[in-house]
Amino acid sequence: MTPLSSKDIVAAAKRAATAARTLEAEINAADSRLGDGDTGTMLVRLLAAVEIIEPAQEDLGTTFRAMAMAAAESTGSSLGTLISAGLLSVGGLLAYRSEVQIDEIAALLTTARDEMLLLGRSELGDKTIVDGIHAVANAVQTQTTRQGASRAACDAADDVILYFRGKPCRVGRARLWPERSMDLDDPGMAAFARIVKAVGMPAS
Amino acid sequence: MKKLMNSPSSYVDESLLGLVLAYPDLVRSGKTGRTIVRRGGAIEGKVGIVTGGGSGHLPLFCGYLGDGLLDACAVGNVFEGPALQSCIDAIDAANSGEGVLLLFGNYGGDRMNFSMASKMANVKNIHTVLGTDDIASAGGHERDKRRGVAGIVLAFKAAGAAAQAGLQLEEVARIAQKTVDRTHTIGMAWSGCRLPSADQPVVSMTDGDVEMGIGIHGEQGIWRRPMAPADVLIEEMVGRILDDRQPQAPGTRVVLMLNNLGATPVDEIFIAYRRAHEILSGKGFAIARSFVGSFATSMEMAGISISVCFVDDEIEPLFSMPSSSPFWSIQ
Repeated sequence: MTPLSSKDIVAAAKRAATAARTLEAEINAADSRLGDGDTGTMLVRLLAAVEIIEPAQEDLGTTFRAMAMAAAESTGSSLGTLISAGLLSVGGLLAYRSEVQIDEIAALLTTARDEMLLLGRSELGDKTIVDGIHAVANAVQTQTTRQGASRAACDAADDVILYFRGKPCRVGRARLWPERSMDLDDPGMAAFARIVKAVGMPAS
Repeated sequence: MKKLMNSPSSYVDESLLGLVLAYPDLVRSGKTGRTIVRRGGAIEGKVGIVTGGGSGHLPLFCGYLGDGLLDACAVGNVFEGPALQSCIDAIDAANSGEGVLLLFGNYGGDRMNFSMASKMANVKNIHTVLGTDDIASAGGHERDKRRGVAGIVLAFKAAGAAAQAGLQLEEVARIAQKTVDRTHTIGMAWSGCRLPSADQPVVSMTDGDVEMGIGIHGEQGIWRRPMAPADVLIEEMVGRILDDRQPQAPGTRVVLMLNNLGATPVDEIFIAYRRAHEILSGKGFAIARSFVGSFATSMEMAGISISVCFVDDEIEPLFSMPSSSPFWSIQ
C-alpha cells in the first residue's frame, strides 16, 4: 500500500481544478436545467482557490483545513459551503498526520458525508452530491491500492447517477419541480463524478 | 458580453466600490471587503441587525443599512450566499454589546454560512430570523421551507424600528418573526435575467409569455402562459396572497408593497399598484402604508412582486417610524 501525503492531496486538487475548468460550461448547462446555471463557474472558482494551497508536509489536517478555508472564502453557495464543511471535517480527523492509508479513505468520506448532511439538513436519498460521496465511500471501503480505489470510486460515482435517474430531487431549489428533476441528473452529483475521475487519474 | 461590466470576476467588487463611493455612510469592511457596515460602526446601547445574501438584488441587501434599519451586511457573489468570513465580520461589526439579530432569506448557502459564523463570531447573544415570504416557493403546509424575497424588507423596517427604539434583542427578534409570519409575497415576470458569468439567461422566456410565482433567482413559478391584462394578473396575485393568509393574523389593516424586479417601467408598477389597492380596499382592508419601487431586484428581470403584511397595532406604527438608508428613507 502506498499512503497519501499532503503533496498527493494538493496534486489531486490541481487535477480536480483542471477538470473543472474543462467542464465549466457543461456543468453550468446541467445546472441551468434545475438551478441558476452557475455551478460550473462556482466550482472553477472554488477549486482554483483550493489548488494553490501549499501542502503542509507533516500535517494533513492543516492541509485540509487550509483547503476548507480557501473554499469557504471563494463562495457562499450551498454546494460550495458543503464542500468546505466536508474538507474541514476531514482535516479534523487527520490532524498531525503526515500520511493516510488508502483503506482509510472510506472513513474520511463518511465523515465528510455526515458533516454535509448535518449542515445541509438533508438525508441520503435526497439526490445530492452527498449521495455520490456515500456511494464512493462504500465502494472504496475494501480497497487497499490507489489503482483499485480509483477504479472503484469512478464506477460508483457513475453508478449512483444511474441509480437516481427517475427519482426526484428532494432538497434545494430542484425540489420545487420534482417531475422535471426526475429526468435530470443532480448537477452536484454529476460534477462530483467527473471530478472523481479526474482525481483518480494517475499522476503524470 | 451583454452587461455593463468589465469582467464577471470583478462584477461584485466593482459594484460595491461604486456603492460606497456614492454613499459615504456605507463602508466596505472585513477581511474580504465583502462586508458592508455603517461608517459610524455599531451603535452603543442598540441591538445590531445583520443581513446578507447574494449580489444581484440591490437595493437588497446592503442598500438598507442606516438609522432605523440595518447595521451590517455580508455580500455574496451574484445569486450565491455570502461567504463564511463576511458573515463573521458582519456579526462582529454590528455588535455593541446588546446582541445581534440575523435577519436573512431562507436559502441554503446563506443559512449554512450564517449558522457557522454564529459559532465563530465574537458575539454570544445572537438570534436568527429567516425571511420566508415567497408563497409560491412552498405550500402552506411547509412555510418553513419558503424562500425569502421582497417581503423581508418589511421585516427589516419593523425590526430596525424596534431596535432603534431601544428594545432588547429577544423583543426585536420577536417583532421580526411576527412581521415575517404576517408577510406574504408573490412574484411574476415576463423576461428573465442573466448571470454575469453565463452565456444563457437564468430563465428563458418566450417573448409574450408571463410566469406567475417566479423566484428572484428565476426559480420556476406556478404557471407560464401568454401575457394577460394587468388587472387579471394582479387579481390572481392578490387572490393567492389572501388565500394564503394565516388565521392567526386577523385584522383589516395591511402594508402593501409593489416591487420592481428590475426592468419594469415605473408607470407599469403603478398600474399594478392601482389594481392591488382596489382589490384589497374592496375586500375591506385599509392600506396602512404603501411602498412602491425597486426594493428587491433580480438584475434585468422584467416583472413585479406584491407583498402584503397583515399588520396589528404593535407592528403597524413601526412602518411609520423614521429611517434612513441609501435606498429607502421614511421621515
